[in-house]
Amino acid sequence: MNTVNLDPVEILIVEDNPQDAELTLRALQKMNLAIHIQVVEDGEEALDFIFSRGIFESRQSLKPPRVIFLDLKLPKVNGLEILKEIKSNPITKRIPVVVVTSSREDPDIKAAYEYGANGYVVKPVEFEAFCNSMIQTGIYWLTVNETPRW
Amino acid sequence: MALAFFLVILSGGVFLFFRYQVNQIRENKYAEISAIARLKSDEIVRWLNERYSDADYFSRSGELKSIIRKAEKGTNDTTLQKEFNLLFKRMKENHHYADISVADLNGHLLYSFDGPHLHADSGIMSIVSSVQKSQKILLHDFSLSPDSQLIHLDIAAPVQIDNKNRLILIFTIDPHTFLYPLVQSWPTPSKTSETLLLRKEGDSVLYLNQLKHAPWAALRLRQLLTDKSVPPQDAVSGKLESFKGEDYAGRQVIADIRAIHGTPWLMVAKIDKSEVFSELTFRIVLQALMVLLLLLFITALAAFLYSRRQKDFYEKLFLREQEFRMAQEEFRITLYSIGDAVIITNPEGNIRHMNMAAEKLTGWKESEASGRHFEEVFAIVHEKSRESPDNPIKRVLQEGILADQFNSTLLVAKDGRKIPVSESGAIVYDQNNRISGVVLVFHDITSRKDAEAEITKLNEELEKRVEDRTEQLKKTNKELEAFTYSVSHDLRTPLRAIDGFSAMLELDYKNSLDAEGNRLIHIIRQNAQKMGMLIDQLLTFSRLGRASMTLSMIDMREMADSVIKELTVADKEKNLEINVDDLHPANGDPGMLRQVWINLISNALKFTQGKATIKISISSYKKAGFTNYCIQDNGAGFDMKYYDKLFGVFQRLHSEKQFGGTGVGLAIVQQVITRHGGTIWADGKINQGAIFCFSLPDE
Repeated sequence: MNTVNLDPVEILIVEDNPQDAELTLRALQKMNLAIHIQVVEDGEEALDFIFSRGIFESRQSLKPPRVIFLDLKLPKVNGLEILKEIKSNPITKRIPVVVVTSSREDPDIKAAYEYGANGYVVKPVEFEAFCNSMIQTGIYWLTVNETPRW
Repeated sequence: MALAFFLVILSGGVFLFFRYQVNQIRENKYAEISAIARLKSDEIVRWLNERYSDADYFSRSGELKSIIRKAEKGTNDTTLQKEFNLLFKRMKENHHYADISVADLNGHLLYSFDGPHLHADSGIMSIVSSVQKSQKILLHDFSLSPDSQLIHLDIAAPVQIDNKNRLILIFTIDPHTFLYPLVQSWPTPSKTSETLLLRKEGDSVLYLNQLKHAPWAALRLRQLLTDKSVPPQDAVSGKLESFKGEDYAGRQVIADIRAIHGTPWLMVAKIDKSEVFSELTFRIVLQALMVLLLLLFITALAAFLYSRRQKDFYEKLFLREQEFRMAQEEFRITLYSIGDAVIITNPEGNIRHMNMAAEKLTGWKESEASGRHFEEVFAIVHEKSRESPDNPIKRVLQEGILADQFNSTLLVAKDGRKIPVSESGAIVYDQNNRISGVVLVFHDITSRKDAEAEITKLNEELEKRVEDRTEQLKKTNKELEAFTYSVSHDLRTPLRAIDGFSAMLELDYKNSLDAEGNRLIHIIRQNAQKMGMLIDQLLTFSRLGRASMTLSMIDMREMADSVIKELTVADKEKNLEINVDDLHPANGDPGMLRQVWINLISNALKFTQGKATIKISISSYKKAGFTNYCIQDNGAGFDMKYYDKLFGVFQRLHSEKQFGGTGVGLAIVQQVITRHGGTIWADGKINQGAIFCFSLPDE
């Protein structure tokens, strides 16, 4: 991502695995919604995007994403730390964060909700099930659920 | 001193006794003499009275009177003398009269047996005149015949003829025939006893009878009243008197003096003082001898008894001594053979005994410790503070008894060695329940202290090892968690990619691939999905093994029913007969037990597929503190040969083609049941169904 997209972004996906990111994007595209989806690869980048700093400094005037899909296992800064930072910042804590991960481990789920996650979705291995989960999650957060207007 | 006192008392007693004896004997003698004198005097009086009555009788007799009348008529003298002799002969002979005669008032003898030689004329004259004067029968007292020098006395009676005194009848008595023998005789054997008859004549007395020591004395011995041998005036005047003094011969005598009634006589009965007191001496000697003998006997007896007592006493003493020695010997042997150290002190804490063990521990010899104060020999300090704790003897005396003390006491031996000891003690009481000493028993507890230290050390080591091991286990657990975590993340992500991209290939290039190509993609996807399932199951298995359990009471019937409903919602087959009993409730983790039911029921459903009628029954029963739950089906069953593989992870007893599954289900069930403290078991036969049972503890 060499150039910074200055369009408003509805969904921010924090996912280090490009294949998973591609699968997620493909699934979300099936929603047929005219939305922008931004993918960042690690925690540092995600925080830069959210707080409009570093390479995303130019996005300062833009609205924050309507929902963040956050993987837990990330290089550099892991998902739970990112979640903690988002939820402890008075500006960003209103952004819904859905943990999207491969882990069904109880400690992970508990920790995520403790830090203020708004949802926890386990990514199935099977493709059709994966697509269904992603579509349902996207539709819910973007169309069913209401988020504060900035 | 005491002896002198005793002797004084004794001699005083003897003297008093002697005096008492003297008086007693004197009085006895007096009594005896006076009794004899009385008897004799009575006898004399009676005898005289007989004589008086003889005279009286014959003075009145007619025969005498007729003889006298005949004489007056002048009958031949010779004839009359014959008649007279005839009349009085018997009388004279029978009564031993010296003579019987008749005199006229002029003093002329008319008749007589022996003629007139006995009487002087003056003698007869005095008799006649006395009788004439008194007109009574008279005694004419002792007189000495002047011619014959014979002593005689006479009884004279007036003979009345025609109421007129005409003659005097005279009975002449020779005192030798009866009176003197009577007077001289003494009824008891006595050498010096004698009786005298006296007559007072003017200022002197006349002895009337023969005397023992003066046979010539009758009517010849005369003594003045002033003579000291003469009985006192009172006696002479006729009063009864007891007397002691000298007699006519100058002998010391005891006498009874009395007047004889109707006579002028005094009778003196006497006995020599020497005889009386010779008896007394004899008696005293006898008594003294007896007393002496008695004393000797008593002394001998006392000596015998004393010696016997002494013997007994010494015998007992000896036995006691022996017993005491034996007891002491026993005590010493016992004391010195005891393995524990023993110290015995007196109540003040001074050492009396200590045995070899005590010598060894303290470093003191009994001989040098004996008598020393206990604290000097048994010096103790506290193990850690090095202060001197309370002396145990003091504590024994305060508390009565001291139980074994493991109070970290160190005994400081004579050479400075410090030995850990444990001590106990007790008070010794004597027979009167007074404290006679204290016994202190102690022993070296070095080895025990070492052992204790060793144990403490081992415990510490063990704790450390447990800690280490726990730490290790925690670490392993952490690692396992991390591993599971990464399995859950990292193994699934590539699988998802495999399945996802295969699916995209399938979707996007369906028409470009031939049938074989599509089949191959399908196989890839199938395996990727299966791999995903395996991972899920494995994670479940691992999670159940680690997850913490929250126990609560569970309605097992409701849980089984709801699981059945959930699992059979897909296939509404008509031939399904599931029977669930009224199951006992269970105490367990609801999530985990639900998993158990899911696995068991789904297995039963799976292995009964294809049966005409599917029969599944679930029941429970209680046994030995456990509740057992069983689920039985009429499905494919299994071969008991492989029973030991039944509950293994990834173990399958049927081909995948026959029945699907990962082979983790029963392993999960076993995992859960084991964690609840129960067991699981099964029974089965090929094509005849299977039964699976698990037990849960009631508590």
